[in-house]
Amino acid sequence: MSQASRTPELMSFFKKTTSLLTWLTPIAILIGLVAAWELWVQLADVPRWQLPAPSEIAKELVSSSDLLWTHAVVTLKEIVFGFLAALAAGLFLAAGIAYSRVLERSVYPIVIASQTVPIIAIAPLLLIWVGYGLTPKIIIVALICFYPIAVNTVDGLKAVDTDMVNMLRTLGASRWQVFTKLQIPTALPFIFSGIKIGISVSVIAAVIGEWVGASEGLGYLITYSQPLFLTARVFAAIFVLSVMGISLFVLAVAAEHLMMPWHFNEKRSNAMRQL
Amino acid sequence: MSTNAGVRPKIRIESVHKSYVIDGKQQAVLDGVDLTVNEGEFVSIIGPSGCGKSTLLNIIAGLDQPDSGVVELFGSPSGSKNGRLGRTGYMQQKDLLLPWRSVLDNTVLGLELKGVPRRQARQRALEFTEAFGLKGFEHQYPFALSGGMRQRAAFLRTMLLDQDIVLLDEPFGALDALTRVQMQEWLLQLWDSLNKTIVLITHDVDEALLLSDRVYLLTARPGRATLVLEVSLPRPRHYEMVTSPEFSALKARLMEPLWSQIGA
Repeated sequence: MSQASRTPELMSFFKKTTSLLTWLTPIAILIGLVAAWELWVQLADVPRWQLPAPSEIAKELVSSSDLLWTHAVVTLKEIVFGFLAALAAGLFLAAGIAYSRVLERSVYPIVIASQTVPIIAIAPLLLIWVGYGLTPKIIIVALICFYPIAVNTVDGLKAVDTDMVNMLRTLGASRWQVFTKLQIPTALPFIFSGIKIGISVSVIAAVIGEWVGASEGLGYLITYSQPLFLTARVFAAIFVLSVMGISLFVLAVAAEHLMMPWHFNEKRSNAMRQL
Repeated sequence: MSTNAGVRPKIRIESVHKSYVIDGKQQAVLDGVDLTVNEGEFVSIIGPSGCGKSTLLNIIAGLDQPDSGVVELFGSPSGSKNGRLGRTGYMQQKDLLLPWRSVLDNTVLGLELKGVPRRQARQRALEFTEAFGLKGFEHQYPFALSGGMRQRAAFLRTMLLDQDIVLLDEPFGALDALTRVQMQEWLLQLWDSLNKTIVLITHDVDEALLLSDRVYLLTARPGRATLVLEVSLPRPRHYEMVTSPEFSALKARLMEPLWSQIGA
């Protein structure tokens, strides 16, 4: 490589510039797209009810902030409760499946098969069974988040190194101790993968739940504003939803780093070794 | 420390047979192995690859059960393999340190499993970190350590349980030649002060002779003990002895059948 002939100062400058570029590029692209959108709407005189300009959406975000906040809190509640329910159920069931062969043979195929049932199709049934309100949305979020968490956790709990298991057994470990001291920590990176997928789809799940039948929440606000051609408000709601989704994802990543510092240090040191 | 009549052996293995299904065929791995290890003895088992050395150690440790034969620990027969699990210290070639635990927390794993409170266990481990060359690295994660240090951490984990019998399965096999010699010297010193019964598996003739009171030579698969060599070198031993005439004579006696084994 020609880089080898460069001085270290130049190399480090090069590296800093590249890392700055990796951050700036997506931001610049985003700004460019928004600017192009604004320009096009203004210059081509696109009707507002069809496509509002970004500046109008920003104005809407400010002027309807109370309204958006009220509905956002509802949607956030559905997501958080649904996700936590899925997390508890997913971890618990996965632990059972990894621990007992009987459960693995009997329950696991049903869990996998259940994924072929379109949850959107179940949503109207939930309205019949548990009515309107928060409960059916929480159930839908939970149903959708449950699968990636459960499947990843099962994989993680089974990903143990046999030599490690034997090592623990010669130290006198019981089966339960192998589970808690080895299987659970081994599964953590897998569990967090499941959590990150689950959190990403949880926002979609909540909106679907609200579309089927609701009187509050951002999904409801969208379906309510659309026939009135309050298009800027629809966009504002979408914006709040994506901010919510991104924030939740960042939260999951932060928890991941907090709970597995060893995992990321190890990855980094391996990457350094390969340089 | 030669075999004393009347001394009850710590480990007694008699005509142990074991076979596995390999490539769809039933193949004998151990074919009537006899082995006796007395209290405080350092015994090495040497043999070509695939002679069932590790299987033998797994059987002693209780991870595996022989098809037939006698396995006695501490002078009493232990019928089931669970009767032997947790009664020996067993260290494998891989250090098998848990990546999510600090060095210190890895070393106390055995004590923790026995229910010793964590603080107490850590205190006990800290008394040994200096002798095991881990001082200053107690709170590092294993990935930050060198191969030799990782191996010593695994060794401390094994030794902290204070088992009378210690089984070592090629503990230095994965280390570079220089680090291996350092570790052998270190183990010699440590063993002098510990008074443990040690069984070491190795394919390194120098290592076997330098460390052991006796060396068992296993044949290629199926494994059987063909030669038992008393190592008459004086103790304390040092690595320089490797070049002495006595050492060379012993080495010749061990090398000849070993070479004929591997067909060279």
